[in-house]
Amino acid sequence: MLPAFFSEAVGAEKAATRVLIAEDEFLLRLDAAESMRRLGWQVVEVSSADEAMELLRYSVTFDLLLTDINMPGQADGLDLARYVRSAYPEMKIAIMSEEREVPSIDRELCELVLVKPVWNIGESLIKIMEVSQDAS
Amino acid sequence: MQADDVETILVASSDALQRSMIAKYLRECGYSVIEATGFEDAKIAIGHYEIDVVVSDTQMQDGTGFDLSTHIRSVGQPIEIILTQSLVKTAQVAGDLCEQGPLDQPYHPQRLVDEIKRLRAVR
Repeated sequence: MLPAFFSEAVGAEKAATRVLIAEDEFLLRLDAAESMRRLGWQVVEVSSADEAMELLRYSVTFDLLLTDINMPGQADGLDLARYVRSAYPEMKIAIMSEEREVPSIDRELCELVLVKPVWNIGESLIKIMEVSQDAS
Repeated sequence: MQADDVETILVASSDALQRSMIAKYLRECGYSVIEATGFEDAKIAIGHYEIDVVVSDTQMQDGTGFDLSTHIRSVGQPIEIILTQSLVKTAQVAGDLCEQGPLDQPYHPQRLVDEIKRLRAVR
């Protein structure tokens, strides 16, 4: 049986924005996760795209994916973004990347590209979540 | 401990579902929680933050809870350690590797004898 946190009843009022963050750099992930928790969002942290995809197979739903590109494991952040775009089209996607990686990112794959080092991550993410709420 | 007397708990586990659920529960109980996805993350956390309690899975992707406990004792920080293990995972591993899944301890010696006899009989 899944823990209560992940098994919210269908149709129940959602308490907070749910974010899945995939980033292998521990301190960076911790900082990003804390800044989002301060916004009142629920954040689940993973350190690889493989782990994120495994989690998503449990029918856990999120509103936003924040992912790094280069992570250990078979899949990278772009693979993860493609999987999410195809399996969960309603999920917003933000990709964190190095400056040199930006040209290789397909802009159809995400709502936002954040270039490292990322400052005011919460502020940037709020904007794309507000846009999605206005649209719905 | 942080300045506002909120105790900080490091939850170290490679099981994202389990880790997130425990961390969320502890946050709701008023603790400050740091999540580590494995042994290396946990070591970095211990080096950077003042942690009061470590809750660690015994088996993680890049090390064990015993390795982490040894590291904590070696750095001499006054951190309480709680080791946890997933019985389901233990049973899965045992099921893959062994003829017989784990026996719940304590078990009566006769139960062990019975299991040995049963295993030998089916060979």
